[in-house]
Amino acid sequence: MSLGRFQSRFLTVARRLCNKSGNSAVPRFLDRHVQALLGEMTGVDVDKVFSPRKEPLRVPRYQLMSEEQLTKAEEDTIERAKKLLRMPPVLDQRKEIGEILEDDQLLDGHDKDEAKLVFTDISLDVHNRDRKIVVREANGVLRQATWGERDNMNQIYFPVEGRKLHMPALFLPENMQVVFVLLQVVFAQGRHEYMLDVANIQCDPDSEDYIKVHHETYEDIEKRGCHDVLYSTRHYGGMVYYLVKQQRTDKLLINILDADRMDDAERLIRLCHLLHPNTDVAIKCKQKAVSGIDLVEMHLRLQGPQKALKYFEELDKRTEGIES
Amino acid sequence: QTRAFNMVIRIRLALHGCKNRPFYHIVVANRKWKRDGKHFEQVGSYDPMPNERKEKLVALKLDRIKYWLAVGVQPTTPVAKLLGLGGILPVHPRSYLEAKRHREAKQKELEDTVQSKAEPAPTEV
Repeated sequence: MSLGRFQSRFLTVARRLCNKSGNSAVPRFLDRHVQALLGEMTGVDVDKVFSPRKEPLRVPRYQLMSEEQLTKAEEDTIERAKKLLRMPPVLDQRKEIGEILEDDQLLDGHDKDEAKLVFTDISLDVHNRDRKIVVREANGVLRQATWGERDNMNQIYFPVEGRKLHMPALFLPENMQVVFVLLQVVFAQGRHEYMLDVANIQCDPDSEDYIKVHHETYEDIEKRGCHDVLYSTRHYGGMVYYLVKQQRTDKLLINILDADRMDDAERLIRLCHLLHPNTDVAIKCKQKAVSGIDLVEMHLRLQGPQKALKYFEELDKRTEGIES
Repeated sequence: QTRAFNMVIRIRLALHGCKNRPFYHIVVANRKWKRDGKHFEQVGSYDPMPNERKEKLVALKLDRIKYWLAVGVQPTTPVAKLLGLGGILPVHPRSYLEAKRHREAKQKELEDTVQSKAEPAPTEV
């Protein structure tokens, strides 16, 4: 099964559902500053992005290249990798549709099999989201279809490649822990990325299942402290946003400092202050107008995990060593 | 509304599917053409067998159906019933009639079972 990597569908959905409500004080996921920070934090590890996947067999191609051509090819690869690393949108859960269009009691029993009639408009110039799908119940009520019914009908008449008609067994709550543990034994990295890829293909970004799966995955990662499992994948931004929103960035910060990514640590702190501008830490850091490593250090001294300060002690020792 | 004049072009059901498994294409065709044969275009489908969620699926190309109806093409009774139940046309009188008959049949069945239970069991001699 090819787990589609294409973002255009999500961006279309995002643009349509972008919350334009007036709360401009706190930026949300699709804000360009937030996106810039998350994008840079995601990082580009070409070996990870283009790691071997199950694909149709192809005859391998060999090319003789000069130095210049090789450099250009490497740059193109990074560009292609960046395209694949575009983040799917983080949206609020969609509200249930329950509108009843007509309640015709005289039609009660119109269907001998006591089945519902589901009418779908398959006009070609209509977006799946706007498609009119109505249901005539056996008791005569004519109503809008629920989101579950809508997803089903859209998948039947306009199938998305890789999406299944029935929810995969992977997503049932009792199975999720098994997947993580078992496969973590088999694969060095743990299959969080796979889980999220399947969720992205299967559900729309604002559906209940999508959000539930993503939150469960992030919780498991947070529990195990293995945030780098999602580093340099398109899910990293979503995970970071989730944790920063809840102000649970301690483990993540330590994970980043462990990997020696000082720039990312600074970006993470900036993001925290951006999304929670009214906290003490944010206000004080803004007053002092610190940036760079100083910002990280200040945040840690004021709020962050004390364990993380040991990285700065090491840094100080190193700089002292150089200076002396 | 119901067959005001005998229009040559109809919106009707063309039976496809397999043995013991009907499936209809909703089709715009000349009356004289074969039921499953030549047609102007297909404007939908109807699956009369309920699926595992107890749904009977009807797909309709609304933009095309509205065009043909506007031009004056008449739907046949089954199609008119479907369009009525779907809210595109007014509900067909036959739908009301069938609903009433089903309700009455069900009521009668209920009364029969109640009556048979109420009757004393025949004693053996």
